[in-house]
Amino acid sequence: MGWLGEAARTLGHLLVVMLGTASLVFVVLRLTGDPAMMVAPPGATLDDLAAIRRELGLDHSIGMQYVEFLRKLAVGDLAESFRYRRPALEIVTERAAATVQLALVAQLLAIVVAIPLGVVAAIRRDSWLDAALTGLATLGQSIPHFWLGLMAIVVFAVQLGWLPTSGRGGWLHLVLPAVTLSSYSMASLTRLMRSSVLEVLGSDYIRTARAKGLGTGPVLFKHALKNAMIPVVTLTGLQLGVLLSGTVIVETVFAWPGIGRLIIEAIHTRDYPLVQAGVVLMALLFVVVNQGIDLCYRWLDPRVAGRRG
Amino acid sequence: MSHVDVSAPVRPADVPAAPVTAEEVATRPRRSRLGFKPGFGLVVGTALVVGTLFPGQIAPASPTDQQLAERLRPPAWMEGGATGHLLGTDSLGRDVCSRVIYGARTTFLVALAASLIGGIGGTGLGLLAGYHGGVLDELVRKLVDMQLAFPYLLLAISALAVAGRSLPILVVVLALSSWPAFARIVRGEVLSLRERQFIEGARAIGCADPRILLAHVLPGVTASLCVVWSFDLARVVVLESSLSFLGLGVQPPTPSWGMDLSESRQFLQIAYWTVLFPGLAISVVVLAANLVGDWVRDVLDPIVKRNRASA
Repeated sequence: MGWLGEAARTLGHLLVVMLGTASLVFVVLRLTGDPAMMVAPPGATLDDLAAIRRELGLDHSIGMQYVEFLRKLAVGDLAESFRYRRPALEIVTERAAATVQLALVAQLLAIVVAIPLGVVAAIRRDSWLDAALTGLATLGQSIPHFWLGLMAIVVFAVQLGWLPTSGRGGWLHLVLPAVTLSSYSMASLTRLMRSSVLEVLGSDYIRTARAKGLGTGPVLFKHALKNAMIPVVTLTGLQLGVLLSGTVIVETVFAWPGIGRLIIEAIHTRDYPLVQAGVVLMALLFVVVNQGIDLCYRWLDPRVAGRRG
Repeated sequence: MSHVDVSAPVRPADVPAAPVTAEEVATRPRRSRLGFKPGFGLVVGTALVVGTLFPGQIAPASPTDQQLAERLRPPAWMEGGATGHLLGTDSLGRDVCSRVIYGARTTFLVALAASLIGGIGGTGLGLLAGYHGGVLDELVRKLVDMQLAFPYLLLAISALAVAGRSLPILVVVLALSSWPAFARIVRGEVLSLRERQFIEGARAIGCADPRILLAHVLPGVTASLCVVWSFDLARVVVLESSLSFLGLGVQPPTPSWGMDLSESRQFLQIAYWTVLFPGLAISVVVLAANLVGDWVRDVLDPIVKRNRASA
């Protein structure tokens, strides 16, 4: 398959996932109740409600609404938010920027810390250092985000007063949320990197490299690391997807104005267009990230490309 | 588990033992001592079971008894603490220690039920998909992929919004998050198991499919199931407390660690103990489940690997 076919396949996959997600969210939302009740002022009559429904385009049959939704989606129009009376996509994009910033910084932090730690733990296998790092990683995997975040606020914002408690502002505002969000990924990546390096170091080609007299450093950096990174890259991709959709807890703890909180609020106020826009954008990010990871994967492991093509 | 014996010193019974030096004693492999990981798991597990069955016998007070005059008292060892409230009181004057103890029941039962339902469902689908293949297999794989692609929290929130917030529904929603992991692992193992000779033999002597699946295939995947299940239990505990933290899970006044955290959040700056102890309880339980999962995996690893290698 040439690159053109490859691109077509990728695009097809993207379209299917987007269409599926958009349809699912459309259906699920319409099970949660009548948005007109949320928009209407207190004391509104039945006629008022009917008028609101007409204005929001909810007086048509579900089928017609769905066709209309898809028709607009095809040209990138995600309608106006019921509550804010502004294009939903505009609101969602603003908030998504905050989430993406948080998720990227957290994941970067996790990678930068976890890879060296994993390598060190693997090289010093069964030492006290290995035990300490592995123990710390297990702990990191077990502490829930919201509690870690709240405790971090108590220590670093309330007691020590070094960092702001919540909100989005300068880089200082980013520290606590990003560290909190990265804890789980960092822990899993460290453990994976450790076992991956151990596995690679035990393989035949490393023994060959050692046999021809190569020192530990070159063996590690020239031969072992690239292969040991393959599972780590896969996990990173999965994690980034989860991080993007999983920031909602951290956003809630630190009052971070991200897309997760926006979607949750919009669900509670039955703001259909806002939820739809949010979910569609998240799904798009998710798919694009995964495709990007796929590319990295091929660069690291040329066999993958061969197998697919 | 044959390799457990490996750690025990091997010496024929009739050979007289040589005098033992101090050095030998020091380096001799310790015999059948409970390791840290399963030991920790056992202690926490026992505490959970006791807390679930007899909370009234250990808790110093009722978890819902409000003493507004005593609100936000710090733990007993701190300045201003009352001896009656070991871990202090929350914003409604309820005893934090008692709420933590009673909360064990909610967490334990909800997580256990959810991961059992999800585990049984996922295992069943995985067995069928792996064994029969074809359209069923395609369907299960697509379902797993779709669920993994869809933001779970959105699913949970919508389901809870549509069906109302109650414990049974919470269990179902949590179980919904459990099944894909089970289905995936089981399917993969069954794919290799079904080509093995003993399965072929069972088919040849005329065993019906349900019997083959339950009596011959299922025992082959139990090792992996144990590992997946202990990690899943840890995951579900976190998820339940996260949903409760967002106000979507357990509803007041039922004591729940996640919900207690969420209710006490606004008092974080003046009464951190109301947040510290419920969260500590969650972390300890999750840590225990993770450690047990690690341990089971280490113990079963040769078995699991052998099954895969013969594929």
